[in-house]
Amino acid sequence: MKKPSPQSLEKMLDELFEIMPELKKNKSDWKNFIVKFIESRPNDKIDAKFKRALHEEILGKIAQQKSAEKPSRRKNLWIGSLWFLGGAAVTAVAVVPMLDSPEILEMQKTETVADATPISAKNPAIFSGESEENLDEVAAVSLEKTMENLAVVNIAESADNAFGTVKKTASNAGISSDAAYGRGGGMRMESSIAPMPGLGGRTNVDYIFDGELPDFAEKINVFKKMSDATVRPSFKNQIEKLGMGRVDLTTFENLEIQNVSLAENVDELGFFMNVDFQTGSIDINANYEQWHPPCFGEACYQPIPMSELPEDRTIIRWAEIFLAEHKVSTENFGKPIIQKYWEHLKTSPLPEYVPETMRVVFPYLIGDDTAISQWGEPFGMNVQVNLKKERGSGLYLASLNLQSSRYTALSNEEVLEMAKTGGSDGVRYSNPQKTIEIKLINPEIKLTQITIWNDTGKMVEFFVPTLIFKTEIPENTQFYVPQQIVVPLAKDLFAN
Amino acid sequence: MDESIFIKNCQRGNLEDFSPLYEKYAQKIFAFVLHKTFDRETAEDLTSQIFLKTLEKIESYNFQKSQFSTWLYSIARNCVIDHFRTQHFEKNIDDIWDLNSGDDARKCAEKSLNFESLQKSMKKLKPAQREILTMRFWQDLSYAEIAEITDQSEANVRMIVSRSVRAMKKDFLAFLLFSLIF
Repeated sequence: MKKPSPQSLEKMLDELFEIMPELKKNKSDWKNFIVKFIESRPNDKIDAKFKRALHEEILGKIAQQKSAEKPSRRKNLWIGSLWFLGGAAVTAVAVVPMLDSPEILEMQKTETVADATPISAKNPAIFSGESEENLDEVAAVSLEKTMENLAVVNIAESADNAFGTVKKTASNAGISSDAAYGRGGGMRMESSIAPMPGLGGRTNVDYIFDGELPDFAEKINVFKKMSDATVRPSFKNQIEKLGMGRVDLTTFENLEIQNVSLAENVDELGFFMNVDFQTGSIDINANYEQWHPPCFGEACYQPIPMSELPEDRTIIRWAEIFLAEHKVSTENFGKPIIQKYWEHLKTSPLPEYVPETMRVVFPYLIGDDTAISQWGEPFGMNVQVNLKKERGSGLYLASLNLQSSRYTALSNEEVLEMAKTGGSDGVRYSNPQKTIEIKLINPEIKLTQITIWNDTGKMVEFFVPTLIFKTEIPENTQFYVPQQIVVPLAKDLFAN
Repeated sequence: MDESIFIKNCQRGNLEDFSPLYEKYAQKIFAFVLHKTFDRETAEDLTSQIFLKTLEKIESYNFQKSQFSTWLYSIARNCVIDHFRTQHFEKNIDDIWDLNSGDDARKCAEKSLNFESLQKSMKKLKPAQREILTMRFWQDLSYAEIAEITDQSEANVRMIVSRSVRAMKKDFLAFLLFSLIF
């Protein structure tokens, strides 16, 4: 056992002699005694693995508490409020009618950014080197306070049918690899397009549902992603320094910092990150060389067998701990989901090994619903988890600035008619040689991301309540059948 | 950085700042508990309970009443006492020093010669004396801290230490000398 330091020993002796001065005459005996006493201390070093596990448990508890304390409001009404990384002022204005020009919105936000002041003079500016006296000149506040004010999902309400009817172009066929197989694009097949594999000739498929549809409202909210809606922080006073004394950057006009790349200066398990102010995204990736140091020989290749895949709750907890460690709020997100590619592809048998890194998706909460991508996968904040290191190893988080508008929903008859022809991804021959039937089952309403190119060639992204039907694929079927049929419920939103 | 900043942040709801507090005190609290239980598994369980309880109660910590360390040690001490009560332990916390050979205490002490000698001497002391000695010499807590944790005056704590040391010295060193010779 460790001996006491001389200073510590002297202090203990002095304390003893202070109370009982008569002991001082045998100082060496008492010194020896205290040394032996201290040396008899049992091995009380805490086990490193236990210490780390307890720390993780504590962080998990913190993450749970934060989730439980989520405020009751889920919909963030963005009524002219601001979101940006460097500022904290939230300006409320009257409800804004839908503006056609994102540029107008951008101008408003930029002006208000310049007026923002730090919440606390003691909070450091994002760019170091600023003295406290200069803080008032910098439109920056502590990241912690910013995150408290930052909403990832912002929604501005607009008038009914505000987006009009969006006409899709034929180029939509190229969006998804499944477009030719009825999973994207909403295109009508003509003779120039190859027939559906395995059906033999020009065959149409009628998708039939004979059950009961779930209830939905007569008017539904459709959300449109606003383009280029992220506010840039104002770093006017910092621009000069970025020239490193070699170029006077102030001689250029209206410079904006569009993105920042950062790297952790650590010896192991470091991260690279990119903050993009244009898209409002933060992309954090493991420093590959530190996470996977060079290794040679077969012993270095140790894949994880499927049988050793940790439980879902363990993987999710590692993701939550990573978020808690880096103060990432899970407000605006629904229950996390682990992406297991083998479930999506329905591979059989199961793969022998699992990837070292898996993705946990925290789907966006838009209004009261979680969003799914147009391919049926959860859509939101992605956390990478390294199964060997048992911790988070990356994060992608982007803001979602939306406008909402109410549209009349399809009637039940209209839903079934659209489903019959393959939904929004329907692929039909105008002169089929034959028509076959596929049964639809288990309809569910989900808020689905739908990305299309409009007739001006511009990509537009919507989140639309959709009815998703599963297809009942016949046994021994020799041709491709899509796993689901998607019917957007908003009437008059899309036109072919 | 001053720990009070982390504590205040925790009290404001930024519980992520509990991590540096945990890092600072994990070893000390574990050692404190192990010195009372002489069982690693029990010490780990109790250490977990202590920190989770501290996390729950940190809002109630009052800077004016005590230092954070003594407040934490008090929670730890109470957890250990509760553990022995709820376990209906036949031998209570004070009798740990009476454990026979083959017991966890000896294993924990890695069968150290010094520990055996110490054990004999410590058995003769009162429980309060043993507790205070281990807190002073093994955990290097000051008399002021010990006083706060055990809820008595500092003068009393100093007196207990001095008398205990005197009572132990004779037996402890004699046994040590005997063991060295033979």
